[in-house]
Amino acid sequence: MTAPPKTATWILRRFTTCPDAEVIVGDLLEEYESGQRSRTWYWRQVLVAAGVSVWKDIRDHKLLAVRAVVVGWTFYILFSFPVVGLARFVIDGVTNWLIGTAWYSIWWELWGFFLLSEPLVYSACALSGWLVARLHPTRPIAMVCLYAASIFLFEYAQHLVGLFQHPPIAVPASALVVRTVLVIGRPVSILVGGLSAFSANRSSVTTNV
Amino acid sequence: MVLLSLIRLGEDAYGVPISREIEAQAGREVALASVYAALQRLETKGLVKSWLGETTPERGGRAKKHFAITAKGLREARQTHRSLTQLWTGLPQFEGGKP
Repeated sequence: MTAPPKTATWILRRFTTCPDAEVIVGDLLEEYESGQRSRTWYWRQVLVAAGVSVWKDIRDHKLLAVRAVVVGWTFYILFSFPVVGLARFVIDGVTNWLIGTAWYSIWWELWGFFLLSEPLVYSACALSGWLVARLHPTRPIAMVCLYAASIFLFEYAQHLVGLFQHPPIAVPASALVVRTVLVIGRPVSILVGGLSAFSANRSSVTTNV
Repeated sequence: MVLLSLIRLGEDAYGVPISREIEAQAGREVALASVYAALQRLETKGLVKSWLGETTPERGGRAKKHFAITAKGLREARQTHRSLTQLWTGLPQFEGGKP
């Protein structure tokens, strides 16, 4: 008999806040360990349970949800824009220094900026997610998920606008792949920050799985 | 469907058998979380009652949550059955065994 996927169980315990969360974990374990269910089934059940819980929390706490998005965006603007500006300043300085030398290439401007700015932006996103979770202690995960979703939609819309303005023929395919990864990276960083905010509290109620 | 599954299962109804019963009757997979969400709504309306049961090793030491239909729930189910039967009766599309 194989144990259920640990990552899935971890997601289930983190994302489900309803009073029946532990009962659902028990039911899923019982059903999975009966041997009649696959890992895919377990993952499907976990993702639905997490989605239902997050959606229910947002629906039942609409004002809190609006506040979370406003607070999150405030921190996002406060943290992300200055670090992007700083990265641009550094890259421009280095580029000016490199121009005229054998080291300069257009790839430097493209990759250098991304490689410097994105880790800084990801850190800023994680910090904003952490703050949103700490400021909404009754429903931290749902509020962080909503804030991350709003950032994802904004970034994705920006990405689409960028594609429209600069059709793929003018942009290297690798740059498009990188851009897509970057669009996903920011919401993921927010989630990581939000989840880490309450890791200590939640782990105290963790039981063996 | 959840309410009817509860009636069919009797007193031993909890998440696993309820979802299995719905799957058997409907012929499609159901999400346990959706079943619990429906049960919570039914409990809020007073149609269902619940209590925590025993813990077992195969559940990682977690308790089962048992559900049973209340008298009010049974009345509502009967009323719904009557209403649906009336609605189905006399529909030419469903008489004579042909669509």
